[in-house]
Amino acid sequence: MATKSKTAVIIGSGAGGSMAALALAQSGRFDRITVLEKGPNYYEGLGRPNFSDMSVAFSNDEIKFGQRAGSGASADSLDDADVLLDPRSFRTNTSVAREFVGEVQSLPQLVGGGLTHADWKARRLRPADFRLKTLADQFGYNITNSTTVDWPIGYDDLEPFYALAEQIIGVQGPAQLPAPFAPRRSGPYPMPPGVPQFVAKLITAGAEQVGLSPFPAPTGITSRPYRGRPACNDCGFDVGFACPIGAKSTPAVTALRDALLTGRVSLRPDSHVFRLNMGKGGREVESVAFLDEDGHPRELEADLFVLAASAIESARLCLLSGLSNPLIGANLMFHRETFAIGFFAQQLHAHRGRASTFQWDDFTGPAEIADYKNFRSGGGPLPRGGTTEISGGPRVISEGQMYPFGEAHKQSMRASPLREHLGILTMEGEDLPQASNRVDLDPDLKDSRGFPVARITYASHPYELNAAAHYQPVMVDALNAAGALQAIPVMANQMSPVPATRHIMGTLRMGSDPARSVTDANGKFHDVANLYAADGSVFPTAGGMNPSLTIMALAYRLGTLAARTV
Amino acid sequence: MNDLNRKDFLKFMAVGFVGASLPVVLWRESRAAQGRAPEREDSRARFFQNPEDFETLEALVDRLIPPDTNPDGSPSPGARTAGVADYIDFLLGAFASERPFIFAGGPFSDRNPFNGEGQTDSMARPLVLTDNQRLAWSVRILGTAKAAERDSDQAKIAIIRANNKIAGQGDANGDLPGFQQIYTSGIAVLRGLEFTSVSSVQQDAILNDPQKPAALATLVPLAYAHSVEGMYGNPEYGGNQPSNRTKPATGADGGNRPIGWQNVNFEGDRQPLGYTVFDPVAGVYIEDPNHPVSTPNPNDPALRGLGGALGGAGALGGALNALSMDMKTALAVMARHLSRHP
Repeated sequence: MATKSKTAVIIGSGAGGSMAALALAQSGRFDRITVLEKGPNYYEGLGRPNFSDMSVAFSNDEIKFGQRAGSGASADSLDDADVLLDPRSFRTNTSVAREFVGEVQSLPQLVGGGLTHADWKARRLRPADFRLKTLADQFGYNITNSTTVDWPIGYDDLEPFYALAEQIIGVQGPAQLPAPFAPRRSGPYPMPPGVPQFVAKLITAGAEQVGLSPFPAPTGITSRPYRGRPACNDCGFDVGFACPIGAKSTPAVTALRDALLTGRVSLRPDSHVFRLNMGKGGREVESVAFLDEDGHPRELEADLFVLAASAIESARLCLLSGLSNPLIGANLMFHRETFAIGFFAQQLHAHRGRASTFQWDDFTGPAEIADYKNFRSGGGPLPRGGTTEISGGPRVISEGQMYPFGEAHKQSMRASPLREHLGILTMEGEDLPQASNRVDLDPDLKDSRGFPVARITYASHPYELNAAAHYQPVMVDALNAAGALQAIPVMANQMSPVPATRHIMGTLRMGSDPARSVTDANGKFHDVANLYAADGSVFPTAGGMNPSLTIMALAYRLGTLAARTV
Repeated sequence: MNDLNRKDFLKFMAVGFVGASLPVVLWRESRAAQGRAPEREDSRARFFQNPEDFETLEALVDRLIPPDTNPDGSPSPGARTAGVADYIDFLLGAFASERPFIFAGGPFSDRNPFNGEGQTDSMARPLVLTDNQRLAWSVRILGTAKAAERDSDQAKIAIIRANNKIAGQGDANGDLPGFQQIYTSGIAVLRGLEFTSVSSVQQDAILNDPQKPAALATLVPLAYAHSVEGMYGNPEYGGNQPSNRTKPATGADGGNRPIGWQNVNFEGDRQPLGYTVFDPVAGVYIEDPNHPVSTPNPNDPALRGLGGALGGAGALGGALNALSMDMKTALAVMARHLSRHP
């Protein structure tokens, strides 16, 4: 193999792109790695050696982050893709062109990507999650009408990269997670849990009474000074907000910053990639075409290309580029969120502290396949749902807009039934891959630059609907045991079929069989020599855990392996 | 929280703590710091030129969020006093400024100084908008017909129009009205009804009339959404002013809190102070005793037994009175909110 230095282009600077950039940079094989990011850069001096020389314009500001109202959509905050310029369409089946136009699973669009304003539960998948087909066949889960498969890699392949990712970004978590739901770990979390929220303590006590095992949520937020960043001071502007002090372990201030510090990585914000230019009969990427910050088209050549623009946008870019694998865009998955809401007499003041400090995994199923022999009820397997998070009610502006206007507004804001008295449970239910759930190009709608937008075709599978129905009563029981005056279950998307979760997976699934997958076990496209995917698109199945840490672990692994191929 | 922790937190608040978590980082304004000197608030462009239009807007927002009285008899000011009409006027006039105030700067206001940080208000200056943000917000505020500022905008707005036609939004040309047109038309209706001259009971009847003119029916929900933002958003946007406007607004423990936050007992923005301090010497977190994270609110009426704001289990007396949203409705509203499309 030649020792000449190589070049790489990474499309997207979120969880996957940042980690891939770091791995490629640390491999020593590349002397020029360019990260192209569609959104703006709100970090000044991100690549400076001294963390304190960096500056940022994020702040505790509910108007700036999400509440400038009247646009008919929520995606109008500082860091989001603007729905006027980047709409998407949605339909539940192929009999109509589209049922909805607007915001569909929009992720924040800025340097650092969606984790910038997530509350960032840094969770690992477990051994059984990588082998869902085997598990289903062995224990009788109904996966008919799905494309459920085992992953081409297992937990043991990924464990070292999980551990590395946790160290690179800085994760807080407990000394031990409850058996039998936790996977084995090669080492402890880098930081212990921070201060719990009152609402989490209250509901944790109730959950324990009904036999559940809540634990401090492993979270991508500091609880100690960590590699130059401060310990979180629990300002409470967490989910939906970008951190103004650098305590949130976002990709920008961790992996991307580390990558920039190697001197081999350059970051190009405001760069809208619209096409991969293919050569060798479509078997190699020669360059990417993008619009620069002034809207001028440019091209950039490289030896290696990594897609990390999210499962929806990476698939869209493949389709815009004419890649021909018919599986591109298929097997799109989300996490179906199932809720339970309890009304408590006490003030819960959930606007203070990190957004959800406790969660439980009891609904996810055991970590090891062998333990499913005990995960049964009434002669059948217990459903696999998802991890369940404890949080409180809405913030003050969001709350105010939900009350009627007039004197009732003032009275309601004082009593604050929504903000001060609601405890909310959210289960991130495991979705099954289905061939008919997919991303394609809308035949008519365009983004403001003139490129066809992504169209989402999606309907839930009975697997996740059953799990939601099964665990809702348990969630309500936990709230009642915690002392809720009243508690109700809520089925996600009762009012709209458009999924609201921002966990996006599938579309470029990895697999060992080129006829049934788009990318291989390393995330490389089967039929393109120098193209990799490093975001949620490569997930063959979804698991019931927040996907970002897995995206990061896969991206670092991919970067390490890809570097050996050039 | 024990007394030691209480004392420690107060000490940290007073003098800071060398080596504590925060001082390592000196985040400053980035995009906010670029370019010109800060714009003074009184130089910020407004939209309404006619005083009667502005007075009608003030009367409108003051019925959407009216003044009333707290349970202890003290006054609870409404939207007019809090400056909500200014908030709306600045938003509608934003693009008459060279540097539109759509998003406030960061990272800190000067309301929660801590350990040498947060001494100046970096939220007082707007962020520089990206080209996309500028276009999207000028479309929202000015409408598709008037938003184009540059040649390159024309093509983008043509695409927005075409998308609107496909989606069945906007008029026959796919044009969308901006906030300016919606306010102008709705306020014209209110002026025709002599809104500022009638009693508050009559004003409420006008706003609640299911048969109200279309222009007013369009305005009321938009003006309410904006009023809530202006009432409880950061004061730098022009609303949520403190009672004494000649003095700087203070944080939760100060004497000149923004009116909206004071009304609803919300501490507001909180950096760089936060609610906890990590003590690296002892290796423990210390919580603000007045505003704890992990323990009940020290002044929670529910902790004082049956006389509490919410009474005992099942009986919702006190502050959850006939006018406020009750428990069942609150659960239903939250359920709708969670299960809707975002």
